[in-house]
Amino acid sequence: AVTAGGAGAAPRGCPNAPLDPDHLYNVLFVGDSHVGKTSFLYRLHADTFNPHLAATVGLDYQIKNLVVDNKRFALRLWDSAGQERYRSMTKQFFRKADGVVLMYDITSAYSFSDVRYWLSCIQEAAEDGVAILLLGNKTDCADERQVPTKEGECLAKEHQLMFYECSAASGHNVFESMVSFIRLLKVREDELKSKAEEAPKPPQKKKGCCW
Amino acid sequence: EYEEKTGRAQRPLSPKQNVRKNLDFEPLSTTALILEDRPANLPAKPAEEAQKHRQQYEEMVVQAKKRELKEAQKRKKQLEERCKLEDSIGNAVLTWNNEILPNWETMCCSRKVRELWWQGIPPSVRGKVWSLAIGNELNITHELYDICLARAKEKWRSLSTGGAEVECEDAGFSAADREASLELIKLDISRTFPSLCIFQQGGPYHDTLHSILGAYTCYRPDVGYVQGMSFIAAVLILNLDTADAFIAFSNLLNKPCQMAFFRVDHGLMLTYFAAFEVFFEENLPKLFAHFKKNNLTPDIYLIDWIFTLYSKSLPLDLACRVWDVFCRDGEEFLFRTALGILKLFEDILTKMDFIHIAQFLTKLPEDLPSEELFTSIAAIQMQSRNKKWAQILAALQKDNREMEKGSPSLKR
Repeated sequence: AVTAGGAGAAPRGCPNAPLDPDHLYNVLFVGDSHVGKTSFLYRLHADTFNPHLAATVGLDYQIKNLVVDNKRFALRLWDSAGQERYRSMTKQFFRKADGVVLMYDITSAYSFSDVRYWLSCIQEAAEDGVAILLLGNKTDCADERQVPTKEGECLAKEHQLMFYECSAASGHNVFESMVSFIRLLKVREDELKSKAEEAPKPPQKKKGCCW
Repeated sequence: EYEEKTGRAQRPLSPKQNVRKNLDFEPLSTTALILEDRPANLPAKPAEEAQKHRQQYEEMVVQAKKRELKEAQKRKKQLEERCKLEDSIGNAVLTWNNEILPNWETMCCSRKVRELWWQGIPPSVRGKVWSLAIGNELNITHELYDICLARAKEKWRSLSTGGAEVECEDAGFSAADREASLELIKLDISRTFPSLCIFQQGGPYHDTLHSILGAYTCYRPDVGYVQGMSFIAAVLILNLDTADAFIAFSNLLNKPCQMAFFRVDHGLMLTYFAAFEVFFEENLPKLFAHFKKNNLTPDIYLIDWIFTLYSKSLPLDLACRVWDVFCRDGEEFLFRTALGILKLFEDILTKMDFIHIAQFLTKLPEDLPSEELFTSIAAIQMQSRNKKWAQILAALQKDNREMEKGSPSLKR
């Protein structure tokens, strides 16, 4: 028999915490290295900024429960490492995602120009019709801004993405963008459901004509 | 030899005895409990009541004394244990320095040394032992490190001045990718053990880490910089001089398992995961079934653990102890450690679902107790139906090659 000595070390109340959420979504965070994916998730989780976060290697995982429009939502957040080399490992997780958050850094034109590249990755690997949120992070560093808000908006419009600028450091638009994104995910889910309900109708009709 | 050891153990006893004497004193702090008579302006207590109170008071004092004594004993025991630990580390340092290191080739594989090794290498000799155990198959010299570093510095200069393209002798990766790689190193250095505050801009080891990673991208442009490497280099820097850290770093990354991961050789990585699962099922069948049921594949936790050799997910001193035995036993110990962690938390993990397991395993508890982990690792059998890790891995690799030859489309 094994006794896990660290029983007290378990995240408190973790296994049973989400009281049966009404909806559960898998959300994958992608974008260049150092744009602030992990910091955004930390802000979402602890509502503070942690400047001492270590670089992500492979994938990190987090769960976040939010109540939106009187419904309980559980988000399974997948935080991926930004480096090109890890992309082939992240790919398999695109398929499982209901939504993708694509983040760039408004103080880095380079990270913004890579957004198109990331979009092609999403198109290639994710399900059709996956919800995408484009996030321009680090609005607190206004002095160093290299990507005008307009450009982000244009790109989002062109590809029909939801778009926000935010700051994990100040907290600006962090919760707001996630709440909007949850609403979008819910709409997409409802669409899929109604499609699925339509789909099995043909065999029922067949049944109908037998009488 | 035994006498020599005990003799040594007795010498440093004198300062310790002083401390101990201090702890042997009678507990006196019951002074807070004083039985006072009633103030004079109030009627005196009846004799019977006074007697009762005195008795109660005495009982309280006895209890307090008992408690005090117990605490003093506890403190004494803790101190003794610490002294014992310090003694044993002191003895171990002497054994490593005087007996083992001078006779490395003949002694490194002896049972006695292996046992001492398992206990953890004392920090003062750790770097030396790691260097010897990792070896220098690549024959890297300090001069070669200087050459690689000079080249890296040249690249940085031309990059920052936007100067002419440095000659492209390295195939495989585009100039842009390499540039991005150098840029990434800069960003990642301050994100390496950020809580230690020694690798950040202006910190004492910032430049050292930068140099080693830069030199490596010049030494192995075909591998380049991959996130996760900065943690490995940092741990080595904490235990070795710069050039020796570079030598150990390059040789360590050249080991088959590390090469497979850092070059992101998918086929080979899957083979490692498959081999791991053979031992997982054998050692922890219940948990294995639970993971299978929840679609929790090993890549989810192993990628982080293997890429950083546990330096990111375990407390640093514990990670160093894992490195100790990894240097002794090779790659199989990395996977044995993974199973040890899973075994240690088996009860908790079987109660969790997918995302909570993933979250738990990528952020292990910070107060993970080292002795319990190592007891748990020791209980993991690295033999499956009389086959050892290397044999299982080789067999799976062979299967893989044959499958790929047979039907190239049948890859997972």
